[in-house]
Amino acid sequence: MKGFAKYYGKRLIWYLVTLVIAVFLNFMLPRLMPGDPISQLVSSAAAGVTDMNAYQKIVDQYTKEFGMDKPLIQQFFIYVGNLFKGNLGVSFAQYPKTVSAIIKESIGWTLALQIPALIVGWILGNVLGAVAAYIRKGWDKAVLPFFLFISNTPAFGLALVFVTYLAVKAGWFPVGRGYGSQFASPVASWEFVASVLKHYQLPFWTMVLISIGGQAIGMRSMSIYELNTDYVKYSRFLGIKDRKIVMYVFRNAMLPQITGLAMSLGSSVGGNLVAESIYSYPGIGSQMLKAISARDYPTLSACTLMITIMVLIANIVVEFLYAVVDPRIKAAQQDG
Amino acid sequence: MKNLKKVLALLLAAMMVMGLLSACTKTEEPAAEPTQEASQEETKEESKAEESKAEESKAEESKAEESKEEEPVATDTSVTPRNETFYLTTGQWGTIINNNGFSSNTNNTFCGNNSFTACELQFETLYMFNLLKGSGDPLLADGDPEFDADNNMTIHLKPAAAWSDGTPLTAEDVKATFDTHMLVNSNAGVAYAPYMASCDVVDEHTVVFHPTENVNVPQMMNYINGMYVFQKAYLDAKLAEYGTDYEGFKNDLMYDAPHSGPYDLTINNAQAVGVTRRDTYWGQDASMWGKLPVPKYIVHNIYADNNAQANALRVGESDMGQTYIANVQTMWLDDGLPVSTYYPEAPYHVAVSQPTCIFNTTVEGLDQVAVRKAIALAVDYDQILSAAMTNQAPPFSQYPRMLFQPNDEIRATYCKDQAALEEIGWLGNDVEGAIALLDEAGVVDTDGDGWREWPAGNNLSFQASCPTGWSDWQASMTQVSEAGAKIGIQIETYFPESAQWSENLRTGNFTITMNSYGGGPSDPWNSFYAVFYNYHSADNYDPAYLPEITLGYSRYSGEYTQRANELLDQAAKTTDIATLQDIYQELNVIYLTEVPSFALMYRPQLFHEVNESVWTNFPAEGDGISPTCCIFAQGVAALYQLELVDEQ
Repeated sequence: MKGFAKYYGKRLIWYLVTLVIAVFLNFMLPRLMPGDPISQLVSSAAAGVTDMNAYQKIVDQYTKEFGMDKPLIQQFFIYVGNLFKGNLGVSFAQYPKTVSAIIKESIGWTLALQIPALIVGWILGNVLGAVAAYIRKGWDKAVLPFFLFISNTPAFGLALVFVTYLAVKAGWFPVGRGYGSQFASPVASWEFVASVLKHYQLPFWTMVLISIGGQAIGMRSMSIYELNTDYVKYSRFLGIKDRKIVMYVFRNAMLPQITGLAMSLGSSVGGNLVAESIYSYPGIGSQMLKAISARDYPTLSACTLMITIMVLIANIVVEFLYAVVDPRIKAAQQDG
Repeated sequence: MKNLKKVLALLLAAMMVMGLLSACTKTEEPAAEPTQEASQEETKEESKAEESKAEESKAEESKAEESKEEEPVATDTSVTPRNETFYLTTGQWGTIINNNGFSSNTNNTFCGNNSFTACELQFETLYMFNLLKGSGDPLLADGDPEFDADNNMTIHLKPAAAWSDGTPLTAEDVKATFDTHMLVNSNAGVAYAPYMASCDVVDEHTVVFHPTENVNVPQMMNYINGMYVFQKAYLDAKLAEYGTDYEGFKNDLMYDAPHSGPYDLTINNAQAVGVTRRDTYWGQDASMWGKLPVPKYIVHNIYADNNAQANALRVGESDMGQTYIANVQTMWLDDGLPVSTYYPEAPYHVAVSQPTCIFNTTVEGLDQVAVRKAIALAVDYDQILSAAMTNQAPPFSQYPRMLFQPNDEIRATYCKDQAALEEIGWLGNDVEGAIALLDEAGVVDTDGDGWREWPAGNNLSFQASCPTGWSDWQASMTQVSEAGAKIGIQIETYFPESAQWSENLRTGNFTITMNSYGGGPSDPWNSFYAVFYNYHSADNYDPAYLPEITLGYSRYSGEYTQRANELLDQAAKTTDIATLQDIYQELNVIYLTEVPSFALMYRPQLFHEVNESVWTNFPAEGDGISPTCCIFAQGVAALYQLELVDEQ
């Protein structure tokens, strides 16, 4: 147990070091992009201003309000100080809205779309990979290549095809948004739930279909490797049922897939640009896209910081999960 | 193992449903319609809360934050019947930031101070701009503005005008609004302070705006067409609450602000923003509309981009759109959809602005008028119109090139001699003429590498820039580049992100770029100002204070700019049409001979596409209603004539 604590203690220190570096990079990298957020903001906020001094006064007001009149290093320490208070700052592009408010109104949409889609895609992909490896035949020669083809289709292309043919032309699905136009805001009714589920279908299945192929090919490779191992051959000699053997194989082959899933779940808070932009889902991804084009440093830094923290947490969880799934790893961790 | 599977499956299903429903929770909702008493009580309570909290926190910005949290939550209209709801898509790309007309950024379709697109549903302006005639129609005001010899502007108010809380809207409110803009240094206050000195109350229904010494009538017209009037009592209470914390005042959400328009802001979430009709609206009076607007609800669904908005229009989720849709006519010609535009034939929309190619005339080569004009002559404008706009704007052959909008009424008013201007103008794609002009000016290729040189030994090489993703502008700059190649001038296209382009424009870091001029109550003065004004020669230019900024205007050098500045100053101080005609004629001649910039096309400021599945009788040619989305400026008149298709 002592070795276990020592192992995780070391790991936590490394995660903290990673976090500190990430915070610095999250702050600096957006600010190194060419382009001035204030110029863009003022170009719309001061539209129609004809007096040059007045124009410059507006520029000065924003510069002071955003703290951009201070040296970069001072801005960094103010940023870190605010982080400790839980203050992510004020958005430049959506000034005076706070970054926290922007994330709050977006994160629910992102997680509601991302997490179920990732998990369903992961499960279907892994099952397909295992089946393709074990049964081969049509699964390996037709179904898997089909999903690989889908996976390699640009996500925005697939989404556009779905919108154009299934929503606009066929009218089977709505063209976008989270629920029907008749609902000005969410209501507690079955009609509303039905509307939400109907609007959910295209973005959800776009993401699921895109992810199946990648998961399946990884699982297939691992499964083929496992199927050729001694314990599988020995199990067959012993006359153990195929179904049982497949379960053994599936469990052992799943280890790298768990890592992939955890990483995907961690980074899922960053949203899915394609689903959110093509299907007008108001999530974090589209907020990030807007922030990048507007050079909205606080929003951008907050979003990337959130992704960083979630990926680090996912890493920690994976390490724990490894120990649960694979006793060999648990033994190694206990050794410190 | 089987049980585990079941549990996992149930968990996953529950997570999906919970996730979906959690995403649908409401965000900040606006107040439905607080009574005056309730509003005042809330304000008092907020003030008390502020005082106690202020002791705990010294941070100024926290004050605004706390205020936000204390805003009353509305019971909004959750289901809006289709036959009572008018859906539109304009420029609402995200959730509302606030409902504060003094804020620098509301991101609120229903609270946008702008002379061209002031939404008249919730708050109202004195005049509502009518883009068809280039001037404003009275809304809160009664009759046209009156100017005396010193350009003091008197405005009478309609006695019937009233606030949503039932109190009358008076001259004191108009004055309080103006004074507050100046006091808190709102963007409008900063913008108008150089031109407007004060606002005085003459009587309950009359105010006078006094200009500064720097008289600028067009800017005064902008103010009265674009600025919302707020209630004095409300402003006084808010100012008392915030004291000298003007930033806090400007960042206040103001969802509880009394307003004079026919609708209340009642829908505000990540999917839609919208308003609900208030049936006590003062505009039912015979002195204004004489009735209520037809739709009970007006909802702007939030879509991710233009394509999504166009799809919504196509399937009838949206009744009205204002985005550019390439080959829009195919919607009804090929697909048989009940979609139409303002004009049934090309150019389909009312063109207002002139996307313009701007030269940095302080750059060697572009300081030569022959080079500038040669590029302008060689550009294929028909190709731009076709490629960038799919012919959804009139060509230069229909409206000859000059700094007036392509509008018969406006040109008839201000253009003194169109034939003279037509004679010195050009239709483009004149490569031979451009080459002859350059040869004559001695701008030639001496080393045989295919590129002309100026000064001797230096190839003429420029960069034509505009923001990436602005497809019509990019297509235009590409045509400028191709025109250069045809006449031996190297012009590379450069499409940075808009933030980079904006900075380059502001700092003058460009050789050839684009901007768009035209439209609004200060037009045509504003278009001429944008093209000509050289701030370096302005009286109030302070090089120590102003860095290299261009305000999106051309960087000019040359003697003609001095004369142009003089003419612009004269034009700003007069309302006499004959004088203005003379001034604008001379400025147009300078524009066409010196070519400091040149228009690449005409373009609508707002496109106008409607799907008549549910509503019909939208603005059309001849009815005098501005095609401004039925909610902006004078276009709001359309709401009073809409009809349901089913009831016809």
